[in-house]
Amino acid sequence: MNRLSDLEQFFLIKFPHDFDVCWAGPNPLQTGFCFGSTDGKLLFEDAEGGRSDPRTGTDSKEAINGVARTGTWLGVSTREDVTFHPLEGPPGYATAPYGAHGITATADGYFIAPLGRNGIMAAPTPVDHGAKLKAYSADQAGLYAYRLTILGSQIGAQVIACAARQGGIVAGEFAAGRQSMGLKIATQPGFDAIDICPLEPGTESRAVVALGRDGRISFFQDVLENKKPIMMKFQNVQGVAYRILSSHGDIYLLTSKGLFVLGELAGRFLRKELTGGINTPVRMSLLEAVDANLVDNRWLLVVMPGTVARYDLEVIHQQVLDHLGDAEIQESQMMDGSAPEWEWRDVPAKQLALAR
Amino acid sequence: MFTHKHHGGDGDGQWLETLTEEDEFAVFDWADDREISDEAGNLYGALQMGVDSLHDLGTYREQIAKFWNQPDGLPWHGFPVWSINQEGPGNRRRNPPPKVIFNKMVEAGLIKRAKANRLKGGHHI
Repeated sequence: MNRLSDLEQFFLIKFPHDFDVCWAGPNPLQTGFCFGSTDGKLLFEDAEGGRSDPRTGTDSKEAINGVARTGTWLGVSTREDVTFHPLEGPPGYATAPYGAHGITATADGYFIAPLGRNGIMAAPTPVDHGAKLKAYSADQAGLYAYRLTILGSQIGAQVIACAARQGGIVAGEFAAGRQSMGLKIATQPGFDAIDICPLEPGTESRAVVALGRDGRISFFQDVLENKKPIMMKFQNVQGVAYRILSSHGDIYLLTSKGLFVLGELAGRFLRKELTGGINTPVRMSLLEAVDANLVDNRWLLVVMPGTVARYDLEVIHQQVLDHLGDAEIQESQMMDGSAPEWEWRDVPAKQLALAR
Repeated sequence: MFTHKHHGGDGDGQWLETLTEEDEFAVFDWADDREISDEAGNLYGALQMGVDSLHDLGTYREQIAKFWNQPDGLPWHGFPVWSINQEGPGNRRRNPPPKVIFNKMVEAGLIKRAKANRLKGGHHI
């Protein structure tokens, strides 16, 4: 029997047997979805469900782990390389032979990718075979660019916030053409930062939430200024943490055990309503997931072997609001008041020239 | 063989200091017993953490270790490998495990397909 806490409503997207899906996200060409396979292929789906034939995303035939668009360029990342495809002009593409954990893009024409020990790559468009790609890093043991997000919507006023594993949270203002980037690093002993996401995407807000591999989450009102983030952990959230996302004031946590929704948690944090007496409704869907992404602040795509589950974020949020007071699905978040303080430091970014 | 080259440093292929010599041998046995090897005969090992995860092995949270194929009679030695290609200026090539390794882990019942697909994407499990 299903419990009230179960997330029951989702739609399963199926794939041909020869398309082993491992990534799903927004369609960079039009409204709809985009899917990546373990052999480096891309499949585009429009809003009506019409699909393209699978096409090559990377010559390395490695598993797609990110797709982004800026202007007339498409960036595709894998653990082996990053490939830049022009959407207009003569056919052809350029490949950066550096493995990435994903890729995103700024409003002013840069692809940004976390390259692990190589740092944070910034690739300006247009990308040609002679382009000098740059990566920002810092001389600090443990710093490992793993997942990142771009904050801010205006050209020239964007902030990169990166989960850097044992290196903590790294953030810096990114401006096109600037030769250096000052980085702020926030660390806490034992916090293995594996993901970070904006709480108010598409706005100028610098509020983020970071996820530790052990399931602890840490809220920052301003990732560049906040000295005392709020850290918490939910007992109902089980498994190794994979991904954190935020939409409509709800937090979505993907782990090795399943998908967990922490209803209104982000909204309450932003409204400064998170106090000791507040309970959070926790809903869940037990599944074996590979990855997850938001699409247009409307859909959540959860990738599983051979299929993708599509969740309607508005429906889930309405359910959260409808059952906000139900005792059956409540959990009192554990504020980690005993945790040591975060240590903040300003460090000059080392700029690497990723010559090819 | 326990080598100093991959212990106590900060860079490529450094074992976590909290891992014992016994742990490292267990990583090798994990690979050797199930023949988790690439085309060149190099072995790839890990340490299970519960039913659906792997322990960290390296100082940069690497979860897979590689053991070079050695001629008969010579001791094997291994080191944690990066999850993504970490080539950089002036660096030697630093390849992550090939995909066939993860497929073999699934076939041997060591990990499930969802975990293999995460590892193929360079993610942790």
